[in-house]
Amino acid sequence: MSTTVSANRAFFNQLRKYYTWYTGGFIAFVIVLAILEQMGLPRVWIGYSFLFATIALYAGIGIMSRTAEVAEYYVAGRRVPALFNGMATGADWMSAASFIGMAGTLYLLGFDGLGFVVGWTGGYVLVALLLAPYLRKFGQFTIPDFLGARYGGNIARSIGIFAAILCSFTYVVAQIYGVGIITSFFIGVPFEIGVFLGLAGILVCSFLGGMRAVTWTQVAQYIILIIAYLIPVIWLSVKITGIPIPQLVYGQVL
Amino acid sequence: MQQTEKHREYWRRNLKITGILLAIWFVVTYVMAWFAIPLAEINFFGWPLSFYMAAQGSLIIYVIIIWFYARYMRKLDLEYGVDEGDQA
Repeated sequence: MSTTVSANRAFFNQLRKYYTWYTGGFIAFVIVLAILEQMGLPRVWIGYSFLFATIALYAGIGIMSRTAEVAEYYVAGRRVPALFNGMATGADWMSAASFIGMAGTLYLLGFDGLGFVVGWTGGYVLVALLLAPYLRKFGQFTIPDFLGARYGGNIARSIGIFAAILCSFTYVVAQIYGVGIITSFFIGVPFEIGVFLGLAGILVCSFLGGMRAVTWTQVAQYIILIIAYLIPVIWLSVKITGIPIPQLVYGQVL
Repeated sequence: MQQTEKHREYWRRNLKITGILLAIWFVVTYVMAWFAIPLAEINFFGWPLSFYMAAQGSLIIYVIIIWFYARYMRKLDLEYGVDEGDQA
């Protein structure tokens, strides 16, 4: 047991080193782009370089984490440290649909729009308390598998499959739509082609490495997303209220 | 595996903490939303209370619930000797 603990600690430290370097690289990349913009690089080229650099990065992580082992493919070997798993989950939370859709949704619907936020955050509580611990203890890979093993028979399993398809479908439609908009906006192709280009990128990133690749690309995305979320709101908060912590003060401007 | 009295006690405590936390979750999620209109009258540091709860408060409470559950269950696992010993 002590050997696994020390092996896990080494794994954790290695990951922390990788992602610290990655964050530094990302900040340097943004600074280089900013300097190039000052020197007169056209906006469309900034779009191109940002899009392709990040896709290349995610594809690189995807190819590096390729695996043929079932446990690695479905559950990343069950050994993602909690901090990194939280970052990957956070990246899911802040994904394309939230990034593009939520601000507009809240602006349009007001208080009612917050139902989305409460719903998909509150859902994590149900998963954490009712499903995740038992899924892990039963050693299953998917929720329908777990329900089938726990309750026996195919009825519970079918309900699980139906729920999984229902949730994934609504989630994926919103995400794919977002991917299409971003791709067509950045590289100036029609929306329909942008969707397929985006899907090809996702396929490269996730198909070879399954959950292992997805988790490590999600951690990388988390770092970009959290920076991209925080800078604009902190900026606005300083401009409007003079205090750089928007969470505390935005009640004033409602 | 033979279920001992100890296992049953572990499971009772597991169910109890899950029940308590889900009750908090229910109040934060549904009761707060149900009484959103009267609660909006209350001013909470510049926000209407129901708006603050939906936008930030409930999310903070959710995170605390998950953190507390993970910590509690980890202690319980160690206490009853069913820990898997795989955390860094």
